[in-house]
Amino acid sequence: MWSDGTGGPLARFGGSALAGAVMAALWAMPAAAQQTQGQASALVLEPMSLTNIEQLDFGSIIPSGTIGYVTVAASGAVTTSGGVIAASGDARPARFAGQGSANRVVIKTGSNQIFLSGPGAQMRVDDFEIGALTGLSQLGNGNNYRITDANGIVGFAVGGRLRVNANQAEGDYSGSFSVTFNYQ
Amino acid sequence: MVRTRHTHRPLPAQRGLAAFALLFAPAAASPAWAQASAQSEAEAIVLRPLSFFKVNDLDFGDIIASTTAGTVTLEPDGSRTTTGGVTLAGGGGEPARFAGLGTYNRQVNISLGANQIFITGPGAPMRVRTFEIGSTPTAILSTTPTRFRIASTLGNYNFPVGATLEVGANQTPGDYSGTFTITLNYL
Repeated sequence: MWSDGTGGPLARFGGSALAGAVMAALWAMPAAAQQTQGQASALVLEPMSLTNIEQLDFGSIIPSGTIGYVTVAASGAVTTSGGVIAASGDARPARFAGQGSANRVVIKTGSNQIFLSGPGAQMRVDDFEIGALTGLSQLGNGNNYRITDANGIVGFAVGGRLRVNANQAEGDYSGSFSVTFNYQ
Repeated sequence: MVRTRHTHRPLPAQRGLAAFALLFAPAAASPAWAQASAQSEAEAIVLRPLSFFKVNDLDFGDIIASTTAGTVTLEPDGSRTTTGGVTLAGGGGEPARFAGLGTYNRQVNISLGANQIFITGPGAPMRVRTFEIGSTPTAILSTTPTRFRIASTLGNYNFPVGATLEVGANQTPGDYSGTFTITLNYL
């Protein structure tokens, strides 16, 4: 093996290569044959749907001996405070797309904070921010929104604030959070 | 097993489960869905001086073999191409990704532990070769070190590595995996 003449570290890391499986499913719906007559009234709400399009990415971060924060706004703006440097343009908010028919909806994250896990101490993510709305307008300052798109198609971004511990160990950190979309 | 950062490609068992959940959902759910929820990943890469580590595994995605051998090439940009009797299935496939922190203009040597590896599974092992780094311009990595220069002023870098997979004729279906080693030397 060759070596490095300048005394720098010689690092070896593995990646693993995977090739996937092939699967198929055969599916049949049971036939329903029922007829009856009657009167009914109902408030018909179209099914709601919500899909995560892009994950929340804080990008590459260089920590220091001082705690710091990296905030990715729903608009995509990245700001830092304390002893941390945001080192890449990869940072971006999560993006969601959905559809609903009710005029008023509530959108909120499943919890107020989550933790990202990796090789070192966990890092807290909080201050989730919903914004960059399409087909939606916010009502007041809370989690209430009105669907403005005629077809009920909506989109929004979710940003957050990452707390980077002092001397945070290097590596890839990840976690997950949920967003719920409710009729009011 | 090394954890993969993205959720795009669940483990085969989980994928099967998810597919069935989806199929059963229309029958099981209540008539009006008054709520929907979605899960998102959140991630961050923490860099320390002279660090170098893996961020993502290399994933060739789902492939359908035939009676004719073929290859699948996963480019560093994530696109997949095939030759011979192989068909791509699904939108999966992701290059490996590595990240680190040096200093601006510093040179590094990058080399492979071996020019080819074999991934193993239920059938014959499949060869993986022609590892390609997504530098500017791209380059084929080998056991002979290739020299690069860190171009970002902060010294951080992040690069993908793709490769070519040789799929045998009548390759047995299943999950195949293996490990390759990449060495980065700060000069």
